[in-house]
Amino acid sequence: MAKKRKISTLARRNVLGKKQKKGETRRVGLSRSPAVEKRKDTLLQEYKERNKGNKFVDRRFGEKDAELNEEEKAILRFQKERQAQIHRQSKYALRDEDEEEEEILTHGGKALSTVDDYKDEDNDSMEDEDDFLDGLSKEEVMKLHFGGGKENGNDGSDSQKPKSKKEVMEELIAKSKYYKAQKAKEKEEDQDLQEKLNKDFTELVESQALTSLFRPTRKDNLKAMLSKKDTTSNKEKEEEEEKPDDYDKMMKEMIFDIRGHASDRLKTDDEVIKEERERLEELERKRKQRMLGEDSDDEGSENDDKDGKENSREKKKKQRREISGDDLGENFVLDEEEKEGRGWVDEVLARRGDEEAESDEEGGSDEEEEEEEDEDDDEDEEEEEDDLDGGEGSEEETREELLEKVRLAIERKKKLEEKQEKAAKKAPEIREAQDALPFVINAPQTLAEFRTLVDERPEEELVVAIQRIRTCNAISLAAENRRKMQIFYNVLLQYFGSLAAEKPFHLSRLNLLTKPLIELSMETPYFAATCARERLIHMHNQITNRLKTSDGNSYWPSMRTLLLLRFWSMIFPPSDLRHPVMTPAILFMSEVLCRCPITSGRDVAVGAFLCSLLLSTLRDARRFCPEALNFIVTLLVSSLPSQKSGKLEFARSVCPAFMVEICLGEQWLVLKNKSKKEIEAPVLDFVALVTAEENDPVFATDAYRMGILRTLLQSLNGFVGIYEDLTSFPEVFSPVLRVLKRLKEEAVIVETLRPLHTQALEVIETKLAEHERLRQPLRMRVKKRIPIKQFNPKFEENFMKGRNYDPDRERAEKKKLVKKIKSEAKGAARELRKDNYFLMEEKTRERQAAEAERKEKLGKAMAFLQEQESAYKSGQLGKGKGRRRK
Amino acid sequence: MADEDVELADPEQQLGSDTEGPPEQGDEEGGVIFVLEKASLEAGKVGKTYQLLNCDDHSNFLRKHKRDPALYRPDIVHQALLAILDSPLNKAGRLKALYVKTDKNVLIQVNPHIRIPRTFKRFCGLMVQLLQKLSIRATNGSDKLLRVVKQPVTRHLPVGARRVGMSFSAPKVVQLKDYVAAAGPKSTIVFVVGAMAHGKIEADYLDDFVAISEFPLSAACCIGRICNALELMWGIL
Repeated sequence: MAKKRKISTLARRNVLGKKQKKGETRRVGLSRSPAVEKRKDTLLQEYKERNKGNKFVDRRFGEKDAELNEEEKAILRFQKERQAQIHRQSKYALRDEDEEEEEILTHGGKALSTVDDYKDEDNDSMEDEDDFLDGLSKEEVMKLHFGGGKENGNDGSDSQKPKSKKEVMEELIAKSKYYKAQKAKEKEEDQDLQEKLNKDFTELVESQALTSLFRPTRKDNLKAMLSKKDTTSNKEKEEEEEKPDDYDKMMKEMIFDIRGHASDRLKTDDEVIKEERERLEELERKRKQRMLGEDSDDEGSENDDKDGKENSREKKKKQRREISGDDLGENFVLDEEEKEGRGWVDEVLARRGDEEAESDEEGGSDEEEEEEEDEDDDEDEEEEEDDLDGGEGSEEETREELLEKVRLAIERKKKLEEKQEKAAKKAPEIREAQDALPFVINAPQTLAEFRTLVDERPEEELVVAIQRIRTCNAISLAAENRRKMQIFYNVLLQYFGSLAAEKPFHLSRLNLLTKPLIELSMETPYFAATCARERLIHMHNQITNRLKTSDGNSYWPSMRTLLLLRFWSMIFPPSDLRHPVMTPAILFMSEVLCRCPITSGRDVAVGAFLCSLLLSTLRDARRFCPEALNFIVTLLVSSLPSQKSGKLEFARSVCPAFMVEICLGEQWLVLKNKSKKEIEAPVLDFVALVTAEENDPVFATDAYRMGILRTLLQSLNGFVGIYEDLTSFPEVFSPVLRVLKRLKEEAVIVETLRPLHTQALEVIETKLAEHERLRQPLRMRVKKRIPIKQFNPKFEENFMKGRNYDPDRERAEKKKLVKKIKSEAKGAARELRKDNYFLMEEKTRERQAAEAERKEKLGKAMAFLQEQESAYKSGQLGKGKGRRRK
Repeated sequence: MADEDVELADPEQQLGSDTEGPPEQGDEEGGVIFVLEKASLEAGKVGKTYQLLNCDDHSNFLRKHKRDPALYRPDIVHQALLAILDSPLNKAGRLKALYVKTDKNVLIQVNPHIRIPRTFKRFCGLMVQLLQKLSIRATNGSDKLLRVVKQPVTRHLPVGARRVGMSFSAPKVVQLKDYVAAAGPKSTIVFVVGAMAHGKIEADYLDDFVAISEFPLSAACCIGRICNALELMWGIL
């Protein structure tokens, strides 16, 4: 077993590439014997002398050496004595000549005796060796170390002999003369140079090449200096040199001048476009943020921090540019008259138009009141507001501009007065002048005031009047103007409302009002929001009161309310998660849709309008509005013709009960005429419908019904479009699908509406299928399996056994020391053990020796006694003596 | 000349009395034990440092010492270990033990919790240190992740566990899925896989010798197949 293990151990230990020491195994006996010898010399000696008090030490020469005989010992003694003697004497005694051959004084590696003291030593022999030692040439080293013996002065042979005093003095004088001449010559040259320089400089200054580089103040200084120099140039030049002249002063000043101002590089077209794009993207980003309800202020401030100083200039510039786009005051800068028509709204639109090929119709045009509203328009409006937010802060900058304008306005007024004076002479023109719109109009503070001003005037003058009021009372002109304008804004809003409420309906006037109103809202956004909120609260109260009292009138909101709602949806961003105006407005519309019972054909039209309005406001944020959907579905159901085929039951199954109650009081949309082929489905004139009387014959026509159906289907399509990503799409739209199918079955849909109907049907069907396909069945929550923990092994690159890899230096050191102590202790114990073993052996040997001796003695004694006894027994006692003598 | 004194210590001199007996079988869920036979893990002194000898880096060195470089393939062991330890089987805790027996007759016990270095270079460093120090601890814990243990490997294998050797040359070619299913999901199976470049495993403790493919497989591939079959049986995804 032991043998087998030994073999395997060896094989395992055999590391390839490791040098083997001589012999595979250690030779234990060989290494042990020196230790034994050593112990014999030391420990054994001590042991032997352990009981001795003192000892005799023989220090005689040669006595210990057993090999020497007496004579040799004597010689040794003599040698020692002699040596000691020599040692003592040698300190003082000079040696004999022949004895000191080995001690030779040298210089430069040659024996002094060979060096001829009077020979002129050349360094030729040294020069060929370019040996450098620590940067010193060998030559230098030679000089430094062994410089003493050499004659100095290889300069010249004559310098060797000392000069006489006279010679020295002469030399000195010659030298000083030479230097003086040199100096005079230099000075002359300097002067020439200076004159030339001065001339050049004046030429340079006069040539205007230099002046263009300086600022005006510097230029003046330069001129002054030049003229002064001309006068003084000839005289007292030396004096001037002493004191710092103007040129020096100026030069010093110029050193500290800013050399040039960094100006912004002209931007390339690409960059301009890119910047513009970035700005628009930023605005879009902000809008999205607000849509998600994140706090954009934080973001903004963060951005500010980030931007720092560098961007501030750019920012300012941007603001300035924004002003140039947004500034309303610019409209009346005289030389930019042609811009009057194009406000900032148009500009923004135009900018968008650059990006998008299709050009959107402007928001302020006639289409504004149409039920279909382009998504882009809404976006534009939001952006516009953002623009304004940016521009508001920079109004200060345009103050000067504005003041200028006011001055112009006042001049204009004066001119006007003069003109009027002139006109006074010309009688027929007076009336005209009196009728004319005043140029400077104070902001009207009441509706009546405003109405007196504008009521009788044509539409163009209305716009001009508002324009003039705004310019004359611009907020940036005076502090109190802000208040004035706010009141005027309110007045304008009232005027808007009253116009909307008026029976002969002035759509064109309303349209004209919209643009200035939007612009004014931008100027005072907070006030606009407050006004809107107040009115919303009022509207809501009105509706609730009406619902409570339930007199014969319609429950549905008036034209004025509808137009205001539409107007707000244009001003304020509808996509914000929470907006102080739009959120309540949307809620209000939804409430109207689900609470107000339909009592007339007009109510149906209003409801349809509200649905499409809600669609356009919700489109961006894709908010879910169940009220509008319910309303649409219920109205669609109401268009089903047959009362008897369980229409009511069907209605109850697809729409909420309260909606059925509200909407299906009467068959508002059931066609009267059975011959469906002829019925057209016209695009309805909303204004006409809403302003019409409740019992207007229009509401009884089939064309009206079909028109409403068309609107409803269009809205439905819109809602399907924006809700198609909803997870709950199947739940929300499966009743709608049923209704649409039923409509098809009962052949309600006329030919003209068929495309709309089929589109809605198909989209809903495909989306339903898609959603249902993607849905995952509910599962019990599966616990994730937890994998076993894994640990990284701890190891080092290039591990070497015995090296400490502890990163803590101190600990490693300590460990090392502890290890050393341990091993030392072990070693000491081992040594002691071996000592003891050795001593034990020694003692045993001694004891054995003693025993043997005792045995021998005993044997002798015993032998004697036995002899005695045998002699006694044999009767020879007494004869022993005789025998011994024998 | 300090490094001259450094020796690869004899593992068995340092091992204390082996108190742990063979693990008990009969816990409720089955497990698997792998033994990598004939692994080529040998440290050599190249220059002044100890290195794990491999055919790529040390071909001249090996030739100088009259060895066949083709036999020095620690990369096989590396791949095999990665294949075992990275398998879902191990993640699910079904790997009960893992032993590596080297050409030089050193038996290494590998803790299933170890995360083997991904790169070969680092693996070599780890193995060299293991061969010198005889045990490797975790960086964060005090558990020994690798250690050299006493021979033979049978003393570490559970009693009654089926010991299956993998060999292309085995007469029996089996469908592994059925083979492990026959053993039953509650049993512990010991798979002995060769981690050498050429030849076949010579283990005298095997109960069965099977081939699992009609083609010769690499160690890592063979282990992958075994793991897949077992995962399938135990429903580990």
